[in-house]
Amino acid sequence: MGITKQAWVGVFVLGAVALFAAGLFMIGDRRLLFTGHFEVSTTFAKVTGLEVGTRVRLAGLDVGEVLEIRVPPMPSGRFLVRMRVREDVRALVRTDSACTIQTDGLVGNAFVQVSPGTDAAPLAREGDLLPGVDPIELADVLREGRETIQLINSRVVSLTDDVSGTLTSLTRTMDATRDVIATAGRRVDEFGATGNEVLTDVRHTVGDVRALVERTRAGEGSVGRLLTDTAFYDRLRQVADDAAGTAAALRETSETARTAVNDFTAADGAGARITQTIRNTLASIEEVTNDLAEGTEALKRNFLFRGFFRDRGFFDLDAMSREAYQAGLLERDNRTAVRIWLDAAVLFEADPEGGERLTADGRRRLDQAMAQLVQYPRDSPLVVEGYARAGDADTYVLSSERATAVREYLLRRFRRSTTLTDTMPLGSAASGSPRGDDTWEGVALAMFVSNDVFRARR
Amino acid sequence: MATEGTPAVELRHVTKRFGDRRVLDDLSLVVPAGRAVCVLGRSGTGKSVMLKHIIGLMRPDEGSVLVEGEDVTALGPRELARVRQRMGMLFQHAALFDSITVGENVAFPLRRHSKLPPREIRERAEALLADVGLAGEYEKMPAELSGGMRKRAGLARALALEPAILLADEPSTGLDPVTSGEIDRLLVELRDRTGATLIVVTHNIPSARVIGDELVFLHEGRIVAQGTAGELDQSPIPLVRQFMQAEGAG
Amino acid sequence: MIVSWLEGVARAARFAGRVLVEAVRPPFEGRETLRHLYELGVRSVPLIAAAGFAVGVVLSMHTRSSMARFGAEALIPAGLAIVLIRETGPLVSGLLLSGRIGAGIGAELGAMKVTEQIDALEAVAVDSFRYLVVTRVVACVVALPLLTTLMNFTGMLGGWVAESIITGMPIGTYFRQAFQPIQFSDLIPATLKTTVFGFIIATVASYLGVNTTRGTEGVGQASTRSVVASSILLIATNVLLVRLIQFVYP
Repeated sequence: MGITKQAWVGVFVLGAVALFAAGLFMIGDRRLLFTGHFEVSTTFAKVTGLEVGTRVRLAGLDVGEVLEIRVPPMPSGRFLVRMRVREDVRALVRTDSACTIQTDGLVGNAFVQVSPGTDAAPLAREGDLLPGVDPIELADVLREGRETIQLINSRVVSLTDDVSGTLTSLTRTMDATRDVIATAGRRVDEFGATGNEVLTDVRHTVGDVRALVERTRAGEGSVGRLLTDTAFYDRLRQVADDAAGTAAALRETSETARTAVNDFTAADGAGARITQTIRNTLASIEEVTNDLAEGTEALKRNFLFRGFFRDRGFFDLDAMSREAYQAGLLERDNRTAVRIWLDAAVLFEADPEGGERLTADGRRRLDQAMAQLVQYPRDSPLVVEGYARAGDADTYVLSSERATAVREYLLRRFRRSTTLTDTMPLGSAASGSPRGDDTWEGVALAMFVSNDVFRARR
Repeated sequence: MATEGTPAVELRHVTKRFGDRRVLDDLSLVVPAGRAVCVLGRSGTGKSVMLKHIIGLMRPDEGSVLVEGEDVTALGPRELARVRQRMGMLFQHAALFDSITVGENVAFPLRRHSKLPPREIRERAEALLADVGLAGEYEKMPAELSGGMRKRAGLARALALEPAILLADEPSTGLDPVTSGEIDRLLVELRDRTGATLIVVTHNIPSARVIGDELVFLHEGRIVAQGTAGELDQSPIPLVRQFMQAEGAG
Repeated sequence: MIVSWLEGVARAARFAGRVLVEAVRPPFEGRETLRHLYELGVRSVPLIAAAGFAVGVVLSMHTRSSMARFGAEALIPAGLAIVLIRETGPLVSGLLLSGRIGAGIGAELGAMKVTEQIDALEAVAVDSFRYLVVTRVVACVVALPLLTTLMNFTGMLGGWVAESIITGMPIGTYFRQAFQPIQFSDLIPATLKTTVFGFIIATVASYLGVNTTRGTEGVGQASTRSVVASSILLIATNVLLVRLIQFVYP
């Protein structure tokens, strides 16, 4: 073996050992084994991804590594993490430098981020304990936002049943907290669904009301026409029912909104979506409520329906009580009663069964009376009021029989509309009767004529 | 250590089996110091095996092998090494270490066992090479040498430590008669000069006649005849006589 | 059949045990060990360096394509370094050297065996086991971690070349990034475990070489079987070693 070979062996061994040493040095250099360093500690409730040797970074710079992770003695304690930090960044590490655990990219290793402290704070000394900020997780964000959500809650609870009031308040609160809330719950979706359903209903109702108003305004159907149209009558009744139901549903919806807001203070899911959803829904409710209010107002202003909406009923003669009639229900809304009094003695005679029946003179007298009323529009409601002497035990029965007999004759003879021709047994109470003592024996034909028409005919 | 009259080599009832076959079968042999013994016999009769027992490369299943009075079968590695330094062995194909030069082959035993300075070792090795007619071949690699030259180099290596006992395994095998004769002459010269004990395994009768003071005839692991060449020529055993007459065999 | 195979395993184990014992017992064959360190170590440098470079380039290209999918190209040097230092470097150099060294030792010792060079060594009173086997094993044990370090280095060099062609990253930045996630526990045990590889390669090859029979044909066989046996044993041992390292350095 020549000297050259030995030399080569020397080169080989030394070279490889040098490379290995260089590798060791690079690792050691990173671990600050060969440079000045100092130790600080921090605490964490969780040490996700942390291990001995985990890197420590400051302002994006690798400045050290984790030396030790001490397990707390009890569950409520925090993990103590000892770190070795490069001497040359000591000026940046202050006693208020917060430590957080962060991850290098999506798949990267965890590292401890030491934030540079504030200039005013004193330098961290060997062994100092720096404040540790725990990893931020979604659930924690929510927990932090709890205070704000509590505020929302209290505000929402204090809302009145007034829907628009609720909306205003909600919207305001949502705006204030939009950035904090990151939760979405299934409840919210449910709420949205319900809200949309209600909205659809409301929209229908509003549409119907609008149609009514439009048609009325356009004069397409005069009031009379409206009143003779059975289908329209039913429709209108439906609309009224709907309007009432819708109002209830709106109340319920706003209640649901409040519940939802209550619930998501305790919910564990998160998402900014919720705020938007609630706001959208509530805004829609507000919008359609306004529509509904507008439409209803329009209807209310229409003379025919005035008061109708007040006690949620229709101009239903069948359903009208005697008291309401006597109170002048049909005379409101710019109508005047044209009344013709007819004496029973002229109209009726005793029939063999013990009742009464129209006489020939009576029919003639009725024809004369109707001739007076023909001048008024045919679709004016006509009420046959029946009267009987006070004191009779069956005064109402008799008054009803008299009115019914007359109505039947009129329907037959003058082809009156059944819905616009009704009876009203009033017994002995005949205010304003020709006798002067507010009693009457017989019937009175009362036609309710629009004031305009009445004045014109005068 | 050997005293006057102690045989250089003595085999006592040595038996060696390879599997079921007895290669050496209760073989006993005494080689007095300074004597040149040629071991004859047909191929596969255990001649080489016998040599390897003497130098301790093989251990007998039964019996013992004494070299200068020491039982090599009972020696530890260090003692055996010491005994071996008193012996030299020329292998059938020289068995030169082919990773080092011819000269280094010869110098090898000196480097291992003498305290001589390297330069002196080299001089000695060159002298040994010159003795076997290979002066100037020091830096050659064994593969560059012819068979006869290799054998002479092997002989030079075997002689490097000036052995008291020289073992030679088929020194003339595979060589032309001229070269073979040269080897024989070298061996004889050596014995005359150093007085070393010589044990030569061969089936070359002319060689045996030249070298051997005494001839031993091996057959199936046993010694069937022992004596001078002349005695063996007259042997009552036909096999031996037949062998002795096959003059050119080899 | 199975019995003889088990006997073979037992003999090999005894052989390995003997290597361990003899390796720490003076006197040491310093010169011979150095010679083998040259033959096995220095002369493997070109192979290992080239292979390491190629492996580095290829690994870098592979990691680039998969890392790019996650937009994590910045992790390529670190990823390559981890893969190379922890496993690829040691295993690839181990396997490559079991080819080069294992075959070399098997053939060399096989040839020495069949040409009686081993016997010749013994005959000149040299402990052939210490001289031939222990020196090779020691050289191999020393060479493996050194060559592995070389492969790690040229591998990262190859990684850098592949990287710099695409991104033009300076070599200093590359190596700093590469060493970012590497711990002592990545580099030291992985590198030192190759001493075991070295022991396995040299011991298996020596065992098969020394026990070569049947002439030249046997030499070829010894060479081939050395490579196969040491490779398999090396891979199996690697599994155990990796487990052991993970146990010690969790």
